[in-house]
Amino acid sequence: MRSVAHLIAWRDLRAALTGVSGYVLLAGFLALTGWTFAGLLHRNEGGFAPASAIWGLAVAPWLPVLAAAATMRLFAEERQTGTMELLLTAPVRPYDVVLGKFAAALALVCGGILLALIQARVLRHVAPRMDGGFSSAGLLAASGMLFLQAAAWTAVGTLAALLARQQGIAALLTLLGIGAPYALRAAVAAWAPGMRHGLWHWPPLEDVTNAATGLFSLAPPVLYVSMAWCALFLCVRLLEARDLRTR
Amino acid sequence: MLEVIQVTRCFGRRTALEEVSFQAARGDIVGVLGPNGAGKTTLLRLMACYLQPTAGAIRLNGMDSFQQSLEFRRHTGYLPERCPLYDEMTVGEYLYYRARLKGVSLLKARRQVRELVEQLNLGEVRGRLIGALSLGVRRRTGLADALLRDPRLLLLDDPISNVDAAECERMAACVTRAARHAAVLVSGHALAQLGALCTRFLVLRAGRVAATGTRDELQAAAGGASLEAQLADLVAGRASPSGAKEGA
Repeated sequence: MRSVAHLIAWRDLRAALTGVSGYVLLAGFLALTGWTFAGLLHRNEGGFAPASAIWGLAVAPWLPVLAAAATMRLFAEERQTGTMELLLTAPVRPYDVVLGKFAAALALVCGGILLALIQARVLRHVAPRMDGGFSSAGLLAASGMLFLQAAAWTAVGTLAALLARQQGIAALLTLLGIGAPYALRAAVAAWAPGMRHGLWHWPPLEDVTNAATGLFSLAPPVLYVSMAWCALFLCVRLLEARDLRTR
Repeated sequence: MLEVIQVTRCFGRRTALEEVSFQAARGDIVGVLGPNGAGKTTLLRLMACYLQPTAGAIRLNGMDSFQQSLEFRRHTGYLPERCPLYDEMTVGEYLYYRARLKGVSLLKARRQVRELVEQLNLGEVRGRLIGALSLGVRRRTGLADALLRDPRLLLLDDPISNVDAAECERMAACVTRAARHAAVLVSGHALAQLGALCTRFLVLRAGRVAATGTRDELQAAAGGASLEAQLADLVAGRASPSGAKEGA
């Protein structure tokens, strides 16, 4: 990473972890994923789904929420305090600013995934009965897919944070941005007979399950990386449009 | 040499600055005077590359503020009006972070921060969180930030409002020292604030240059009247800018 982007990322991450908000966010994420994991395990008792896939299914739905919470303050806070003016008048390129802020938020989101992974490993030792379906390879593959999703959702969140003036609006925009393509897909499917069975089906969950069970396809990684790339590219272009600075 | 050439800035239908032109050379400390809403902050933001002119150009030693924005910003130090700083950092950390952000090398950043902390008497508060500092110390920290990397153009937006006399004196000494190798623009509301510090003045009224010149030129234009009263009249629109160079 370029050194300027690295500096911006370091400051943003530090700001997030200086107060309690960052820790509350991670603790909340862990509580939610733990609760979902326990619930899913209970529902799948006697079933064939491996525990590593169930863990992935427990973490994936909360990732957009964590990404929205981690990114909502990126630009809104700088605008409110006026430090955005300082940042943009320093000799830094727009892509350094975007990359730095994205990296800081992504580090926080990936920190959440890593903590959830540690939580799962601890559970494995505490409850040896689960050991059968808890393969390390499955966990690693599910984590890899979750990291890719985290990158995509965080990039969407960074874009939303740049567009919105208020943190709450930014978070809402992030969730809408992540959910809208899938909602649109579901709306189209609703009109097509024979596809209605997939109406409540959210593809990112399937991607995680597939990865955890060893079903690999190139399509999901390409989709998430492209999504992140497009969102970050839009961020840079928006930041270059100077009139945004007066908003 | 700073050249501001026929600069206009509009916000939607409102024109904040209209065909503003002036020049400032190294060693000049230009006081930008005018009432609230005259366009002082907009002018400084344009020169800091925070805003882009709707028309006209701003050049520093031949560099265009828009075409060569990054290079232009490398040579510009800017203290915004609200003096925004990162409250969760200590003074030392903040200055070091800003020095690195401005591309100052590791060793040079340490040296520059140490020098500026000494010059601006920030030694006692160097390890304290910015959020816990008084406005005066925050402004001194902001000024130290603006002075990092020895800028060729120093822009200070209303730096001495709500600051006591001793702080003002300390800041003025630093600004005078910086003016040896830079053109300095300092904005304020009244001549009394900036009179002793500035070598030249630019009076803005409703986004246009009402008068510009040195203190003597403005005094000559004022005739026998007090310069303060004449400038107050110019700003309020009660006097014509005859004698002083209008929009020069």
